Amino acid sequence: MIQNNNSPDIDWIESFALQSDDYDHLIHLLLEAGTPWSTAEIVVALLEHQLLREQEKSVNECEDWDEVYSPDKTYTSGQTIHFPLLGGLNGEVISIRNGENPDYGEYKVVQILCEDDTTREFACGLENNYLTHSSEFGSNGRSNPLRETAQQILKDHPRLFEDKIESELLEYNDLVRLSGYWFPVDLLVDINTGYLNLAEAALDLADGRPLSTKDLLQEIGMMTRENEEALLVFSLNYALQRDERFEDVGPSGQVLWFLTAMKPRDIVVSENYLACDPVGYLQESLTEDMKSLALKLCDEFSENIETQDKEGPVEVVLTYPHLRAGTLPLSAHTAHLFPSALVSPRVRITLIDALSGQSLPGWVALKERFVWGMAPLYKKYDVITGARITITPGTDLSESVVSIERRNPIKDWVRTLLIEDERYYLELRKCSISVGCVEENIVNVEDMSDVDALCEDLLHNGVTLENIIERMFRELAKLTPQGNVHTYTLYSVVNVVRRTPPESILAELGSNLAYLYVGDAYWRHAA
Amino acid sequence: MKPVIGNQHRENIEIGAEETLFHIDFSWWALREDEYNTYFHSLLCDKHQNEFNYVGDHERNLIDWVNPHTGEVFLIDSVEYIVRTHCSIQEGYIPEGMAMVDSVFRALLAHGNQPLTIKKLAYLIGRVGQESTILRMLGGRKVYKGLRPV
Repeated sequence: MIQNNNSPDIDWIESFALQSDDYDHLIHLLLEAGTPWSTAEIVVALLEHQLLREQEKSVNECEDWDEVYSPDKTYTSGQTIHFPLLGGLNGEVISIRNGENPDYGEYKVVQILCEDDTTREFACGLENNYLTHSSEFGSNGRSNPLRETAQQILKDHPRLFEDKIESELLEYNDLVRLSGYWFPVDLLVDINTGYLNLAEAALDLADGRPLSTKDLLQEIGMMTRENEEALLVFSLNYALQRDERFEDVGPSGQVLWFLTAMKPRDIVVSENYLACDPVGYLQESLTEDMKSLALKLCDEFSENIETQDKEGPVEVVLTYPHLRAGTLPLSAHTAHLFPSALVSPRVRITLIDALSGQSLPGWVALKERFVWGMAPLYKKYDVITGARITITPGTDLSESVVSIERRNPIKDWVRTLLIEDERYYLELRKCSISVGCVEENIVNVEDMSDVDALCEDLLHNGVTLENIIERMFRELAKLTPQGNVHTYTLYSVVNVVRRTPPESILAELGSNLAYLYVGDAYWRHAA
Repeated sequence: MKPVIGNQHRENIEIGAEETLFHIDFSWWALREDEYNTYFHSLLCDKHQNEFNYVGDHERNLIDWVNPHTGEVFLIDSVEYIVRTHCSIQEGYIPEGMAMVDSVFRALLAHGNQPLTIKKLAYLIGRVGQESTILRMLGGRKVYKGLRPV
């Protein structure tokens, strides 16, 4: 029961559930509107419908009374009045006096003897709408009080009603939901195979550029009157979504269609280089120092990273898996630079080379946590593992400017992974470096295909992460006179052969007595 | 005495917060006329504080206040009328950091003393999550500023 339009009973709110005639009412409304409605619009309409039902029920209960109270009406002594907004209170007019407030103009005050033997006073004959919600009382006000109440209820309890009604509507198969909008499936515009073929051809001719639904409607000659546009867009989105030839590659709030067949196949290959099987470890085995070291590496698979709302450029230090895959990491540190999407698994972007201004097609793989499209730049600038790459926001989220720090090539001794007869080891070898790097993270790989084969072998033979860490640690220790190994270097070389977040490596170092932390991010073999 | 089990206690608080309605009991204030005058004067906005100058410095008239939601008429003091119809809708009427009792009082007055649940009151005074504290304060033996369950 609604006690008052501005303050619905908490029980009523919590026990709110859709009735069968609510569905019919909604279908009728959508049919009349002829355009899809957002969840919020639907919630307001359904709340309004239920409020009306409550009001009608209340009025029916008071048939024995002369009048339903309304402040704009006038009453005479002896009249019986019903007050639906006071929990169905009934009473009889026992006296009338003049109103005592110039703010309300001329009006009367009726004294009511209520059925509970109390006496209460009510305004009547209020000609002007001084009361904020005078139309709530049942007069023929121009505004829609029930809608206002419904909007207020939704404002006070937004998630409660949206979640409740959404989950109930999703079970009702007659309605379709797309990007938060709803429409009856039977009333959608029929988009036949012919139109879908035309859409495919239009995307084919767009030179790999994704098209919005409106653009597609124009291309396939379906654009009609403006008032039908929303329904046509909704119907076409629905049809395209159900056809495997098309994929939505737009960021949040934007629907952009692309041909599945035109997506670069290399993205799928890249996924293989970047796949990371999480290795279980005890959180307790990580000290605060270790957690802080792991955090500095900004690995996209690191857990529990809490970042402030980031803005502006971010520098990433390239790991081997990303160099091999031609990608950038999509981590908590870089996420603000790239678009996100609620529906699309991959979002199309443009990567701009800051040095040459060249634009390259890029893809943000949200689930797999990488940004694809960097391979041409890595090749062009002879990028190696450990290179510093700065990513800057473009004019909007669909653009990112990538800056690789270029230097005059110098020959330097760098740790190099060598593979011979299924055996791998590290050696210092002269290597030309022409980009800015973080010394600790540099690893040179002479033949990437050999590394691919080695990774396969290690996986196939069930070589564990502990074995790889032990082997790489030993190899790295050999390269320095003190036998010290920097955490970043170990992380970098281990990742050449097994994609691993730093926490797993640090947990092994911390829990294995064979390793001793000597401070300043360095480890050595325990004596 | 049998101790109240933790869960049951929490449950009682939840029921109290959701179901019990609170309002300003003006019969409580009727016994404290001087205090009423001073307190309502403090609720006036700057403009009306100047207009009414000192507490008790003007003739106190009774005036109709019509509940905008129900149409019910209450004869109230003119200062209280100004607070309800003007001052309570000014920005900063319930300032951040104000004592809980005063915030609840002001919130109820701004809503025409329409009985409200603890949940709704907590929301109105920006103290969501502190429902049990508000309930303890309003539901206790001592009555603060006439705030009582209906």
